[in-house]
Amino acid sequence: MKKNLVLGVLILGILINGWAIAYLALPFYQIVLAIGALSILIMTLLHDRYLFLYAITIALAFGVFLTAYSFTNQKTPEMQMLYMYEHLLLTSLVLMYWILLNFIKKIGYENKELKQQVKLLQKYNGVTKLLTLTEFNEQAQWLLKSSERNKEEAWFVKIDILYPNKRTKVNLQEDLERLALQTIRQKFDLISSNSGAIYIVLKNTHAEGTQRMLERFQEKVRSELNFIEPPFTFMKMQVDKASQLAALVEIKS
Amino acid sequence: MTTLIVIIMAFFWVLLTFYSIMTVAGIWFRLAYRDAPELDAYPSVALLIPAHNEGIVLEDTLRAMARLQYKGKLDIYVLDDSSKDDTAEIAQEFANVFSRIHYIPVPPGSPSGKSRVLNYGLSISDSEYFVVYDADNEPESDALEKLVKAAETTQNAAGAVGYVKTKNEDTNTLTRMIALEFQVFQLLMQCGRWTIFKLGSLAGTNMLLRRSVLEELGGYDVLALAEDAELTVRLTAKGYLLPVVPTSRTWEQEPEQVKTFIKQRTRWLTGNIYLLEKSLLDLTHWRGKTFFLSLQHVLTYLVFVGVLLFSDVFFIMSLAGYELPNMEAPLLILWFMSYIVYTSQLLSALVVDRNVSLKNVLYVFVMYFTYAQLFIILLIRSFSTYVWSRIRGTTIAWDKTKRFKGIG
Repeated sequence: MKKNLVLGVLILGILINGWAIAYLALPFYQIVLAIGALSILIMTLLHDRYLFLYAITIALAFGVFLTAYSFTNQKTPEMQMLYMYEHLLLTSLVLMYWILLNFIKKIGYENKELKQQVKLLQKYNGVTKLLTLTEFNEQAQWLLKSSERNKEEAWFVKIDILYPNKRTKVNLQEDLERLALQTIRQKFDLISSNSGAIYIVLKNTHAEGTQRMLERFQEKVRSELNFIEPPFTFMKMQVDKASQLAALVEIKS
Repeated sequence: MTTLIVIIMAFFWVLLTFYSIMTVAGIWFRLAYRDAPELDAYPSVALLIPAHNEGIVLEDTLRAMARLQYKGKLDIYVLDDSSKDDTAEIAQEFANVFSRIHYIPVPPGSPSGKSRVLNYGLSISDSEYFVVYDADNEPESDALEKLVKAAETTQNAAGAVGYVKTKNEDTNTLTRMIALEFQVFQLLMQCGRWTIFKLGSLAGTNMLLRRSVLEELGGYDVLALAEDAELTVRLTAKGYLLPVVPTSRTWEQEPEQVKTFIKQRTRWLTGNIYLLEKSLLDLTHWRGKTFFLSLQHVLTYLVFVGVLLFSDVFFIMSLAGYELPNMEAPLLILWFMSYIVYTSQLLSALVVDRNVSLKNVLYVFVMYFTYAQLFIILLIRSFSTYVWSRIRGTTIAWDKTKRFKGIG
């Protein structure tokens, strides 16, 4: 609410300022209008790093011009006062626009930051509700530690989806994720994915158990999809350290 | 009259140009700044907190001190200078729990003040370095380590100085203006001076010093009211460096009432007048880099305020329609441009500190007409106090800044 008010005040201020330059018609007002309009255009396109530098350069340069002009033309104090008003109008216009852009960009950065935070806090992915990679890694650390203490084996499986057709690739991945989720032991094993790969960690199992899980998965794929050759390859290996797992899982932001 | 006006205007512009160059250099330094690398071994540090009736703020201060992360040996000393409130009780409570926090009652003595208390703190500790924090300061947990790293990696460094931020900036107009002033004149100028002249100046708090250097200099001057500025001059005269560390931050409470502000700044200014007198009498203060420090004292505390007063009179006269001497220079617009340059410096500080907001920019625009003018009152007040004490041959008592209870 407060942010909306500040935005509103700034926009209103810029409009009134522009109107005042034209209405008061002080000396050099046409030049000031042109500089103001051009500055708004340039500042819109400038990188935010250079915005202040630009605004302050305009304010100082116009001031230097007015001082030099008053020097060379021996202007009266009354005339100098008018120059000061004109300068204030241009400076306030450019600075208000700078604050406005700053404010909008600040909101944009806050928004980006919040989205990043939400992404980190999310536990499950969109459609298939698999664990997010961050959550997968977090839970895998606990799982591997407890396996180590209980002298149990944990196995990692990576399924790489090879299908090249872009049109159906997304749906194919979603189906494979759903089938993989149905194959593993619920609330016991861990599963996650990113574009083109599915990651599984199987707890308290061994090489044969992992192989049986993969066979079950392939059977399910055959019953639901029209492939003679499976559209994926897989690799499996025993893991005992979180760092080992992190190296196997490609985290793409 | 005309010549006088021209001379004053020329001085004004020389000063403004000097400060503008400092601002640009300060911005450059801030943008390019990288923290010093990790050290193989961290030296021992004694953290000194002079405290006189600090019950209102001490709990928050010690909470922040207990959170300090430092890889070397750190001992925190609360140096209680005859407090009558619950300072001792609070400090003792922390000292009972945390092995590195110590409560030290300082024996009574004269002259009163921070310098004597710090000298006592140094006499009861034996670390390689010592760092000073005022009793209302809450340093960030990595503030000390950053100072130590900078001091250890800078050749010929006597220590290092950090950044002081305003904790109660949002309380009222005065605290907001103090915060803005600190951003420009305390940090940006400090960074600028370091970039151009390799000159740092002690801020009285969040400052680290090597014990051996202070021992070489004979400790703190107990008569100095601005002990930090006085020590800076002596350190610089000996050729030592004081690197500036903008990422080492402490949060400090600033005066929330004009009366408290005037009292605090009168002490600072009186301290600087004492230093000025010392500089005028001691020629070593005008050699090498110390020249710039002494020159800056003269310019800031004498010339600038005098010129400011003159410009006010001149401006009011022009507005009131008084007939001014016929001049070839457009004085009015020159005066106006000096206001624009002053304001630009404040705005630059906002940008560097990522503190741009409509409210802050509005404050910046009125600071010249309000806050800056307070310095005229301050200079008159401190000069009269100082001259009066010199005539009577008395020592000006060290006057502690009143603290305020923070919210939350």
